[in-house]
Amino acid sequence: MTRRPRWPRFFRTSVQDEVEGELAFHLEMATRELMEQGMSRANARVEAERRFGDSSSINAQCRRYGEERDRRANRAEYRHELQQDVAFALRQLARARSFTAVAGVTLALGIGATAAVFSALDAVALRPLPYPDADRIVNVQPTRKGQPTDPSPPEFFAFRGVPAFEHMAAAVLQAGTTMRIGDVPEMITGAHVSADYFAVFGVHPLIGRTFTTEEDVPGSNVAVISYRLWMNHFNGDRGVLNRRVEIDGTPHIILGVMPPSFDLTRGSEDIWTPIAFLPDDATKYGEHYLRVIARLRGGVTLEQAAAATVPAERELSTHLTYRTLSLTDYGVVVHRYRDGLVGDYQSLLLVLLGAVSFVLLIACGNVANLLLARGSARTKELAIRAALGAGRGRIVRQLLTESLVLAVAGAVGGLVVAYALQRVILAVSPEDVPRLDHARIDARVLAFTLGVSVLAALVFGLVPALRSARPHLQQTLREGGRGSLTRDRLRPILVAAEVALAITLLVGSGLLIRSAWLMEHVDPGFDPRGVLTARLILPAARYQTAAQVTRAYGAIRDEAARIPGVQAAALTSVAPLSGSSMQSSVESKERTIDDKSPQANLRFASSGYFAAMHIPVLAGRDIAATDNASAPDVVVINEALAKLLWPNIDPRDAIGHELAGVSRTKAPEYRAVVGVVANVHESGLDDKPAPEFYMPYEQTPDLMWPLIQRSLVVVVRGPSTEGSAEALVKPLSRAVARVDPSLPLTEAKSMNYFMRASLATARMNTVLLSLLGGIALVLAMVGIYGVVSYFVNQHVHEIGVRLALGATPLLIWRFVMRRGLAPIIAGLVLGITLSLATTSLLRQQLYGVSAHDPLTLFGVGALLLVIAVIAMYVPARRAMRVAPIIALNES
Amino acid sequence: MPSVKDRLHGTLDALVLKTLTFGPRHGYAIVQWLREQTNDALSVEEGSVYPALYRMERDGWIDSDWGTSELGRKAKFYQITDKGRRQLRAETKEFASFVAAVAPLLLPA
Repeated sequence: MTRRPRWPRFFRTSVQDEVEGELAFHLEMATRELMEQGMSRANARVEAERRFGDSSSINAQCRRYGEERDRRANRAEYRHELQQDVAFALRQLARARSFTAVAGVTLALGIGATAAVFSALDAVALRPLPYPDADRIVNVQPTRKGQPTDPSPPEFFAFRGVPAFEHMAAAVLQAGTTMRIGDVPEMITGAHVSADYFAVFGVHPLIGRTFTTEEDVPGSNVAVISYRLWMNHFNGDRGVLNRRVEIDGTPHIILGVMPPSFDLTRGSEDIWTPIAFLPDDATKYGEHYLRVIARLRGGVTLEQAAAATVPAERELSTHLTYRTLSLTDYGVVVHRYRDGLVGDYQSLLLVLLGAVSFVLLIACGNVANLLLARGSARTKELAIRAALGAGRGRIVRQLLTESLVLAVAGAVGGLVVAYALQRVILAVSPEDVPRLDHARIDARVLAFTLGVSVLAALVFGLVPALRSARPHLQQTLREGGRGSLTRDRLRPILVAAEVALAITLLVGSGLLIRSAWLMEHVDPGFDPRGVLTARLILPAARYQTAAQVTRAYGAIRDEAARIPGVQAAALTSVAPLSGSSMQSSVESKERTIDDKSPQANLRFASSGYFAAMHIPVLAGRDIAATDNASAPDVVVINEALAKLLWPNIDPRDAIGHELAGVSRTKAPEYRAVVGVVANVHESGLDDKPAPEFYMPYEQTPDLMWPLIQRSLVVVVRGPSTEGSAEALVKPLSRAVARVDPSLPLTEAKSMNYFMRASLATARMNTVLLSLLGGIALVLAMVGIYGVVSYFVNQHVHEIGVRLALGATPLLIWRFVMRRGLAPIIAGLVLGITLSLATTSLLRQQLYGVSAHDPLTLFGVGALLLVIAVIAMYVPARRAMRVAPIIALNES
Repeated sequence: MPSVKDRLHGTLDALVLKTLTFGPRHGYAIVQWLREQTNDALSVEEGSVYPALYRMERDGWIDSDWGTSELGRKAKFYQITDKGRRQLRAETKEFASFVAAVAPLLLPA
């Protein structure tokens, strides 16, 4: 049933008048009837009122119902009008097919890209970690003069007693854990953790249980596995509980499976085994290798927790034999766990969100321009509507509804774009971005997309709508609906704004892309081409003494060198750029060793390592096969360390000097420098090369082997062609098997892989920002084309007159270009100013370029001008070819 | 089964709707009709019909329009809507089942 509108608005009386009028009518009628029965007027009135009842209460009830009725009717009317507007908008959009297509695609790009980046930011940084009170989970680190280091076991034991923490756990990540189910050894990432680890996160296993403190002892051989491992290797079979798997050569019983929320990054741990401290760990003051994670007690701040832990740290440092720092130099720092995990990715994603919102704004500018053009074409239609009594507000509402319908259509298309872009982001981003693979187009993202679309509809729709609804009735109708030419200042302003936004975005992208390019062209200090690296870990059960370990590695190296096609084979404890690290304090014999001694990377390497890696030996010699356990202890250092330890002599002259690594518990053992090698980018291409010293692996101090899990990296160099390193994986594993068939290769990766990984973040920037910059450029081009094209259409008459009066096509070309270029130049100036103001926000992400790099600014400016001229070329050519007679006839 | 209070409430609604099935009429006419048809047995306060009318109009069971009464005065005329007819059928059915349930107790054969 349709309710017919009973009272047009202006006839409508207030509910109060309505009720009073109706009740008065009733009393009047009742009085009259009683008078007809013979009562006096006064008596009849009293009797009528008596029969009527409590009139004030009845009046109030009627008014309440009446007001509700009117409210409902208003709402229904509003809904009805909205339905009408939407239906009308759909008809309009269906009719203007090319307009709808261009505007829809533009909005889909803008909204979709925004939604994709938002979903990534949301998954990585905005959502709280999936743990109860995740804000209370923290990392605890001791500091030396404010510099954080990893905690040692004694520090963990001391910190554990501090009441600011509800739970505390220690963990050691084991990147190359060997797991064997059946016959196939497999490399996975595991962690040794103390029993409280799971309590710190407050996460219960999905099935089974975690291990207890009683089981956190040597020989308990129990393990908890990740959901990912359970799915990939056990097909989610619940029978996995109590199954036996061999981990690093020892059989372990699987106790439980953690939920999927525990897989925070694509590279996070797959198996947790007890850390099983030994009694003598309590005195290993110098072994800083733990990660300590804790759950704060409710209400305790990070600062309070740190302050509460400092006394334990200082008390402990009184036990150090060679302590030279003053006690107040020892401190503790407590960070939120989440901050360490999300790290720089949050700011990176925020930069992307900024970039993508620029794209969206440019898209809005384009659509606003299209709507303005349509608005001028529709002036007659709107004028007629206005003449028929539609108020300005009503027309604005109808036009905004059209914008909204357009935006929602754009958003629907945008979801497709978002889905595709999500794949791209995932494909080009580094592996350790937490939870990026959990990014979904879910309710939150949909709500965000809807919000963005509504906002976009307002941004691009409001001004054109207000302008179109301007009451120039008579003028418009007189002009025959051609629209007036005088009020077209808004379109050039929009173009200038678009250009400014595009410039700013392109300058930012340009800077990041240039940084990435510079990083890719950093000389790593070695030749990565054709080099394969693989880590080996010798199980303690079969390799007990240092002699057994070095003998096995020597044999493996010799076997590797015999692989056909292999030019060189060598061993090292850490491959450059592989992400692992091992540091030691180091000091020259000329100075006393103390805690102020510099830190340097410590490496153990075999003979021929520098030759195999193509690391130039600047002075002295490579490590030789004769540098074995019975020969005098020697060391090879890099240039950076030579400069650090002996700043007053040429690095080459460091040969023959002596140095020692610092141990807090033992007196220093000096070694003579036999070689100085060139610097290598160890920790990342964008980091400065660190000082390093290399000891012959056969001279590794005995107590070092258990600490590094009797683990070394085999380096083999094949031909320097693409893919040759990967082709060596199988031959290398066969070579290793000839020495010990039970040893798996772990992390068998080419040096080029590490190069790529080191560039992953820069590459992600490059790919995504190039993509966004490209979209922005295309949108700006479309915008410029639209405006100039519109200008030419509006001026066909004038151009015709000019041509008729003898103007040359060149003059017409200049006429169009002058009008078209003015807003672009304005946008250029504005954009460069804007980028100078904003790019300093990127400083942290730049490498090798200044935030105000003139080359980038100039290049982007030139690029935009070229694009603008290309966009203007088509309409300008059309203007030059206007036939004067046709143009004049048209009017 | 609805409570007895709801029952009475519903009954007044149903009676008013029933009145309107014979054609549009104003509030006083409705009261008159109720009085005549029930021989004054339904001695409700006359005014209580009006909140019911406003409520039913709010709910879309009836419609109203200002018109001219038989004596040439402006009055508000009510008429039943389709939704109101459906409501009346439902109320009638419920009333019948109410009577069927209660009658054997109060009017033993």
